[in-house]
Formats: sequence, structure tokens, C-alpha cells
Amino acid sequence: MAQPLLEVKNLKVNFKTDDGMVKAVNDVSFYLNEGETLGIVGESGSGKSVTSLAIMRLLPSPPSRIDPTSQLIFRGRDLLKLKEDDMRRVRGREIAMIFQDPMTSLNPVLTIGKQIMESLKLHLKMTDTQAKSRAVELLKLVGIPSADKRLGDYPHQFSGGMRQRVMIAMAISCNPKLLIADEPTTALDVTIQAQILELLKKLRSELGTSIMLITHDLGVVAGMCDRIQVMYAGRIVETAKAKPLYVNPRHPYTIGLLNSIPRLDEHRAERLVPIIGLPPDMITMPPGCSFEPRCAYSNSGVCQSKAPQLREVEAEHNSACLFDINKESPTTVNLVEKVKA
Amino acid sequence: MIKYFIRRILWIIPVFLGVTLITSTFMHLLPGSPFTSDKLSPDAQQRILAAYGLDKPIWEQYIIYVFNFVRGDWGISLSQQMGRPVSTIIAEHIGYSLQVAVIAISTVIIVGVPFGIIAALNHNKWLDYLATGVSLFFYSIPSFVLGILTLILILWSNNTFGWTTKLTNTNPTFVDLLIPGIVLGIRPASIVTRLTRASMLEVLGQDYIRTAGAKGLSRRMIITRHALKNSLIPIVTVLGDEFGGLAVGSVTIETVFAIPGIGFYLVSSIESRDYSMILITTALYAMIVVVVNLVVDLLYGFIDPRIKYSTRKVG
Amino acid sequence: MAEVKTEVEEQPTPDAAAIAAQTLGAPKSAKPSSLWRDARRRFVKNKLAIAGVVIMLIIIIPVIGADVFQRYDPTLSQYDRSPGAPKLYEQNYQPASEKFWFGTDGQNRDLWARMLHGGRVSLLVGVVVQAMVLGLGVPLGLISGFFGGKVDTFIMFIVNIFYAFPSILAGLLFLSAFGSSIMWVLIAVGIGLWPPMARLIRGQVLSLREKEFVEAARAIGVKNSKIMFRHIFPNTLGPIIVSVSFGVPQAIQIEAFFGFIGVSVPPPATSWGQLVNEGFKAFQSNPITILLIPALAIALTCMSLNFIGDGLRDAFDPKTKNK
Repeated sequence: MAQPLLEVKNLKVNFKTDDGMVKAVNDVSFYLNEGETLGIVGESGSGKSVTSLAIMRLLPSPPSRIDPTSQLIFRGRDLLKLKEDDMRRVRGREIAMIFQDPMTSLNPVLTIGKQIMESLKLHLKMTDTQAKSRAVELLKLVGIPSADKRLGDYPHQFSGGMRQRVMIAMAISCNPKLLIADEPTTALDVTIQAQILELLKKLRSELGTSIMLITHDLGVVAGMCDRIQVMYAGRIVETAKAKPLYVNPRHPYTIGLLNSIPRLDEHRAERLVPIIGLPPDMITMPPGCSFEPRCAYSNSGVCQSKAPQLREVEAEHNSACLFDINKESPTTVNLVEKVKA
Repeated sequence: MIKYFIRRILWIIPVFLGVTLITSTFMHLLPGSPFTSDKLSPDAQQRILAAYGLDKPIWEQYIIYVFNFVRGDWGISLSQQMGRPVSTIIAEHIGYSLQVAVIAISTVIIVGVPFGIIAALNHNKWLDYLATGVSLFFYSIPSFVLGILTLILILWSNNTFGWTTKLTNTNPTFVDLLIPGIVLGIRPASIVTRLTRASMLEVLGQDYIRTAGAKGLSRRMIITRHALKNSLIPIVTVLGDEFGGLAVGSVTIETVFAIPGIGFYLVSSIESRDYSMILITTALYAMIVVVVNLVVDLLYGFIDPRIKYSTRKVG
Repeated sequence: MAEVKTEVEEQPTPDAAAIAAQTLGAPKSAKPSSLWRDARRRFVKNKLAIAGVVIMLIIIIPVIGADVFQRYDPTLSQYDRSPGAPKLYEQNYQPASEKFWFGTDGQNRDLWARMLHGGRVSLLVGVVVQAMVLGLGVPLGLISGFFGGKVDTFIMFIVNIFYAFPSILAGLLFLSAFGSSIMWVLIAVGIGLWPPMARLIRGQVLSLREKEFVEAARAIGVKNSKIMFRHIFPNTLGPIIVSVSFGVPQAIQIEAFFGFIGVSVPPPATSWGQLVNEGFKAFQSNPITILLIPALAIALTCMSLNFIGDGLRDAFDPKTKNK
């Protein structure tokens, strides 16, 4: 197999806070192939955004610290070993990023034309006129009507969805190899969400960019990603191709996630079941499985003391659970009472 | 936009009326008049008052006063420079005050803003602590105390090193006004330093700064192209407020350094109950504050494209 | 803010609240980390603020106990009339000594005693003026922000006229018109300080009014007055405390200015600003301490108070310091 585009090895990121060390990303390894779309799913605080910012080396330090044993191999080079100047040439040029909130991610006092042309001039050394015509092209590509007239507009003159399109135009301006989209649709209306996802799909097939799609919404990644990995409390708990993950989830957390979202394609036999409780305190992590306190399948004694490692449960399907769990497995505890206790 | 300009400018009228009404009311509550003297017979006093129109009812005096003000006839000084038109006196002395104010506001901009930026860029490092500490120190010292300490320092260095720094001058040149101007500017500069720092830190934490970083911009480019303009927005407001403060601060600084500006004359006018001078000077100060605030509001529009004038509330 | 949110939740039935707590996953055992507790923790950690508190205690205690700490009557000349003593006018402006710790003034009065009693006036002005500012600015700001409409327009019109007026000049006018009694000094200092407070409170109320927890309270039918006092007012307390802590040294500085111009409290009473004034007139040919001591007292007091204010601001609004 050819070398993957990006290989993350043993990524550990800590944050120093007043209350102690927060283990935001705790020994995470994964890969992303060229042209592939990888979905990373998890609730807030699961470490998915920190992972993406770590790849971009955009985490402020202090308070953050990436463990020196971590490796981020991108096209054969370890990003963590690059000098800051060389890393800058990677950002925007080879790896680009789209952020969650298009309202605040664009500079309010600069025209969007200026903001798009900025990377073109910086990375591709374009002249003003070249950058301008390319910016118009990009805006057309992301579906902004009368693109040439809107270059001089300021972000506040665009709607949320349109701003996210501008963000995307900015991100793809230098034809990056990898596009990291951090919750690109979370701040948008549902109908706009679908449009933005369609746009990302279209760009992927036209440009052949690899995409890392980060979201808390399993529904968003469903039709979009080749592979999905689920994160919980700074660790990857399950990873599989998209379809097997939906049809046959093998980790209690994934099962919980799927049970908590409504589905239109199935008869609604059961009530939606929320995942009860809160993610663990990331400073004093439990010694055993970090999902144990919220797990309906936990086995008292074992789960609290032994931390499960990611292991292959089926071909190309890994789960970090000590037991072979699937949707049919009987639950072992009454969660409502457990959480109350 | 034009509507906003007009409304904003019209706002000067009620402020002017309010200001003159308040000042003139208080002036007539002042005990005694400049002509209260044992040497003059009551009859003579009455005749002088009539000559100056001071025997009329207060409201009539006020209307006449406002009417004359608009015509540029600002009345006649009643005491120190007896009989000379107030407008002439002010014209003679306002130059010194303006020079001091210009030096002070330059100090605020040249010293205050860069130090704030330096502090923010070195957040939680020694340069930051130094800038914050120094600015808090100067913020805490009233202008006149700082002026006095400077004066003591000048005296001491004159004695010790045989320097000849002048302390006072009846006809000060721009160079003579440098030290008083800088002293006057230091306290507002310290406020601006603190504010610039806070504003810069706030901006540096914004999402769009992260976006700029994700584009591969260098730190310097991020600061000059993306952070600076945004962080200047709140500072412009404060500069406006501080200018009003400077106008008042100049009263003390002019007294301490004996500069013959209008602040200096205001204080002596209050001592000698020179109605016209007090009324005009206070009204003038208030007008300056209002006009500067107007200019600041309009400046906003150039810096921040989000401001739509029509939707903003006055004041 | 956490406190207020729980207050909103207390309105529905206990059952609903319990279910809400479960689904939202509110941790049961963890104590609510309240705004006040956090603020106190952050304040105590701030070394400059604590230094400010210590210095203020060192200043406040002798000033409050001036009658105990004074060694001579502050209003009486301390002439040595024994035979062979220097002529009376030669005894004026004595330098600091065992007998007169800070020296004496132009009437040979003990500067230490005058500093203590002058400090009383200065500090009193700082505190009382802020009480007046609170009494006027807070209700007006609350009413203006909460009711909006014509009430708001009217109140803000008045506030803005006062705001546009250079407050210190207004104070000067007051003092010249009504003479310098302590009451008029208080009013003269306070006249320019209440409009910013009213504006601050109004701005706070305007933004709080749109917050979710107020809408929630409104949605479940909480009365206006209750929303105002239970949900909005408590949330303005942080900014109020910070504003007051900076307002006290501001008031002290303004009073010092009046004293320096010579329009503060009437003699024989004095304030630090007036002592600076007296010192300023005489320092060129006499011991410099008569000018330096009161000037430094003002500077040191204001500095300590500002350190405290700074600490309070960082404590209540940590965002401003650490991003």
C-alpha cells in the first residue's frame, strides 16, 4: 500500500490550566489516504478539534504542549519537526482549514476579496490582477452569485452560508492536498448545511483534495466520508468504513450516539435514547475505560481498572472496548440509576 | 449617512444650550460680584451693573448672551483685563492651550499605542509586566502631582547640573511647552496603553486571527494586516474621551507651569468672578468635547465598515 | 451566571428539573463553582492587588484614628514662646524632626497631624462620592436600560448633557457658587462621575436583557420587577464593583485637584490637595517635604486603590487578562 498522505502517530496534546494538566488528546494514531475523506466524530471536548489544530500547529503554546514522541507525517515529512517558516509554507498551501463559525472566522474590517487574494499572493506569488481574477474564479466555483461584484464587500454583507462559501474559497485557493473542515456546518441552518456539504463533495471530486471532516454530528459525515473514526475523551474509540460503522457499530459509545439521533429510513420502533451523564474530567481521568461511567454495557470490576486499547474486531474495523459489543448485546446496567448513584 | 451627520451635528445645540444654561445659572449664584467693594457707593455699583447689563433679569441676560454668542460677540471681561472683549482674550491665549493639547495628544498616540501593542505581543512576559506596571503607576498619579514632581525634578537638575531649563515664561514658545505637554499626555497615554493592550489581546484571540494563521501568514503579517486595524477601533473612542479630559487637565498643568493659556485664566476668573470669561471658557471646553466626540464617531466609519450611521444612537 | 440559570430552572416542577439535570448531565456532587468564589480566588492570587490592600490599610488606619495618632492639634500653631527661642516667623516651615515627624507648615502647624486630618477628607470624599454615584447612577441606568422607550430617551438625554459637560469644570462652578463646604465638595466631585455609571449600567442591562436566561425567565412568566432584581441586577454587580473600585481613586484625584486650585474644604480643615497647594506656594524657599509628602500621599493612595481595582477587574472578568 502506498504511503498515506497523512499519518498521525501517538499524538498527545496537553493543556496546562490552573486546575492541572488537561490531556486533550491522549495517544491518538490514524492515517488519511490521498483522495480520501475521513470523518472524525465526537462531542465537544473529545479532542477532535485539538487534533486538527495540532496538525496545523496552530495551538497556542503555552498553554498547550504536544508530546515530543508524537509524529505527524505529512507527505513523508514530520510536521512537528519543521521550522516555523517551513510550516507556514504548508499552512494554506498544502493543508488548508475551514472553521466552525463563518461569522467570526473572517476578518470584519477587510473585504473578502482582500482576504482571498492574501493567500494567493503569499503562496503562489500572484500579482494583484492575477489574484483578483483567480479570486473571482474561486467565488464562482463555490457558488457565489455575481462574484466579481462581491470582491469589494465586507463579511457582514454576506449571510452565514455565503460566508462559509467564502471560507471554503479561501481554503481551496492554493489547491491544498488536504482540507481540514472543523465543524463546517454546525453554525448554519439545516438547509444551508446540506448545501455546504454538497459543495464540499463537488470540490472533492473536481479537485481531488483529501478531506478531514470534523463534526459532532454523525448525520453530517454519513453520506460524505469514506471512513469514520469516533473520538471520546481524547482517544479514538472506534474506526471503520462508513457503512459498517453505521450498520454494525461495535463500541458502546458509537451505539449510544446512533441511538440518540433520529433516523428517517427506519421505522421508529424504539424511543430515542440519550447518552446520560457527562464526559469525564480530562484532568483526573479514570484509570480504566473513560466511557465506563456512562456505559450501559459495562462490566463492574474489569472496566474500571483496565483501559481498553483499539483492536481489530472485524476487517478494517477497530474498537476500543474490552468486550465484543454490538447493537444486539444485552445491556448490563440501568444507566439512569447508575448516574444517580 | 448624511442624515446621521446632520443629526449628530444638531446634537450640539441642546448640549450648548444646556451647558450655557447651567453655567449662567451658577454664575448668578456666585456670592458677590466683581464690583462689590466698599469704595464704591451702592449707587455707583448699580450704575456699573446697568452698564454691563447685569441688572436685567437673569433669563433676559441669558437670552441676550446666547444671541450674542452665536454672533461671535462674547462679551467683555469684567475683571483682570477689564473692558477687553472676551473673544480677544481667548484668541490671545487659546494658542498656548492648543499647543499643549497637541503635544499631549501626540504623546498619547506616540507613546500609548505602541507600548500597548508591545505589551500585548509579549503577553505574560517581562516586557508586558513592565509596560502594565509603568502604565498603572502613571495612571495613578494626578496630572498636577506629576507636574509638580516634574517641576521639582527640573529645579533639582538646574541646581545640580547647572541647567537652565525654564520653569515659567510669560510668552512661551513651542519648545517651552514641550515638557508641560508631555506631562499632561502621560496619564492619558497610560490609559491608552492599557486599553490598546487589552484590545489587542482580545483581537488576537479572535477566530479570524486563527484563520489568518491557517493561511500561512507570518506573525508579523497577522499583526499588521489583521490585528492592528481591529484593535484600534475601541482606542479611537478613548482618544476622543481623553481629549476632553486633556482639555480639563490642561487647567492644572497650565496652573502648575504658569502657562498663560485659557485654563490658567479660567482659574483666575473663578477667583475674581469674571462671569463672561467663566461662561465662555466652560462653554468652549464643553463644545470642544462635543466636537471631538463627533469627529471620533465619524472616524469610526473609516475604520469599521460594520458601522451603519443611520442605526447608531446619538451619544 | 451559573447561579442565575439555576434560578430560572427552579420555576418548573421539581420533577422536570430533575429530568433536565439528568439529560443535560449536570454533575450532582460538584459544588457550583460560583462567580464570587472564583473571583475571590483570583483576587487573592494577585500580588499587586494584595500589596494595594496592605498599603491602603497602612494609610487608612492612622487616618481613621487621626485623633489617636496625632501628636499635636492640626489647627494650632506650635510656637516655642520660651525666652531665647527664635523669632516666631523663623520657627515656621521646620524640617522633619523628632518633634515634628513631617516638619511644620507656614503657620508652624504640625504637618503629620494635618496629613492625618487631611487624609480623612480625601478618603471620605472618595468613599462618599462613590456611594452617591451608586445611588444616582445605578437606579437611573437600570430604569433606562430596562424600560427603554421614552423613559430611556429622557434619562439618556440628561445623562448625555452631563456627560458632554467637562465634569471638573462643573465642579469648579459648584464650588465657586456655593462656597466650599464639605457637602458641596462632595457634590462637585460627584457631578461628573454619575453619568458614566448610569451609562455603564444601562449598557449592561441592554445586553443582559437579550440573554437567554432572561428570555427564559420571561417565557415562564416571571414578573418584570423580579426579572430586574433577581436576574439582571445581580449580573451587573461585577462591573459595578470594578467601576466603584476605580471610581474611589478618581474621586480622590478630583478632590485633590480642587484642593490644589484652592476651592476645596474651608480652612482650618484641609485635604491632601490643599496641602499640596500650600506646599506648592512655598516649596522653593523651604523644605521640599511640605510639597512632596502630600503629593506622594495622593499618588500612593491612588496607586494602591488602582492596584486593587485592577485586581478586582481581573478577578471578575478574567477574559481581559488571560486569553
